[in-house]
Amino acid sequence: MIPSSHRGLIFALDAAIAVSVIVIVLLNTSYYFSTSQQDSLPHLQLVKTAGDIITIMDATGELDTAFLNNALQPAGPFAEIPVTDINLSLYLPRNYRMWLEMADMKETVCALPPCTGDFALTTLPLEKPQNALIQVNLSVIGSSPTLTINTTGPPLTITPLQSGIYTLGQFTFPVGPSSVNFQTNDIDVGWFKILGTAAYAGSTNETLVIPQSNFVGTGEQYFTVTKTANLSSGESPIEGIHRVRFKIWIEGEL
Amino acid sequence: MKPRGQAAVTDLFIAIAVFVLLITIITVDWNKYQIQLASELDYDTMKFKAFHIIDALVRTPGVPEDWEAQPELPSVIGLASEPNVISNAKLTAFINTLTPAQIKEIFKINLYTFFFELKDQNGAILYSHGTPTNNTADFSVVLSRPIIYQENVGVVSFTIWK
Repeated sequence: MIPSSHRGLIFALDAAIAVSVIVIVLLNTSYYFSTSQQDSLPHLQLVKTAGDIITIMDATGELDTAFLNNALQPAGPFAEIPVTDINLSLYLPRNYRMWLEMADMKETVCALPPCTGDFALTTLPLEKPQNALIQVNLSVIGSSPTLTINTTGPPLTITPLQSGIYTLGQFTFPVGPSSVNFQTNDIDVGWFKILGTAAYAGSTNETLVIPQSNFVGTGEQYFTVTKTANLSSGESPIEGIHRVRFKIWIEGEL
Repeated sequence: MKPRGQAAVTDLFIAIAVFVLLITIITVDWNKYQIQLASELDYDTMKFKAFHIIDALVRTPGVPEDWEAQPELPSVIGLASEPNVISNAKLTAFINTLTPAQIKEIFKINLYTFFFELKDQNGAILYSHGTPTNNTADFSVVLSRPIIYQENVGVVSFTIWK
């Protein structure tokens, strides 16, 4: 039996527990209400905007131009896609920032041309092991051209009939830089690239700082690059299909 | 005289005061959340409708695809000849042929008012349709998407308000 002097204590304890329960319920309700405000629709709208911009640049041919200007003319070391080729600020609403990366824009150039006979070129460092296609820009310089490419897997030999860009493979590549062995006859190799890898991708601003605290929308699309071609000789006007990735965010709070 | 009864009454008053205070707080909070929830639901509905409508307008040709040439009302209005490229014929039909009431009926937004704008890259309004908010709206949702219109970059904005 509870002593009569302790009854008030039990009553106060009950009240304290009841109040605590109510406070916890109220706090939880407030918390869920505040988190429900952070809905995903503005984030989706942000990603949609970036998708629209890429669609528009594809429709106007800007992506093709940027790719052809930068990817297939390895005159010097590739830094980033210049603003003269892709000017994202033309399309972005105020305070929006966007970063864009196009696959297959960099290449490993033959350092000491002519690259004929047997030689090896080192790939750009890959982030993960990959099975990927190789694109080779070669010039036929004799009457019986053959090219054998050898990486870590089985070698591949082709007999190209004319100079141009050839897509070959697949080949297996380990992480990091690796050696690609070329055995050529009557062929001069200008450059090669490993398709679809992050190492060979180029971006609009490689030094851009992407915020950690804000929401950053990401996505990717594929686009077809068309080029000027001699159709009568059977040359295809399609250079290839390439991936473009983007990140988009708003400076400040959404 | 023993003070026992007096202490019990004081306890009771304190307990009643605490109880009434808590009930009041809970009731006020509950009411507040109910109002907030109703507003949020309404606002969310408007956001989703605006999102789907502007997506249909700038990314699709509509249903049927040649609705601008048909005498019947379309089941979905789209202004794009291809994604993000606005067709002049569809835009003209949207502005000149369809009334705001018909557009609201097609998009199932009879409870709201809408305002459509097509602006050029400098923000100059090229076309508009519907009723602007004029700062009188209780709730409004404005969504904008970049487009190409007559080979120039522009922006389509769609506002739902009430």
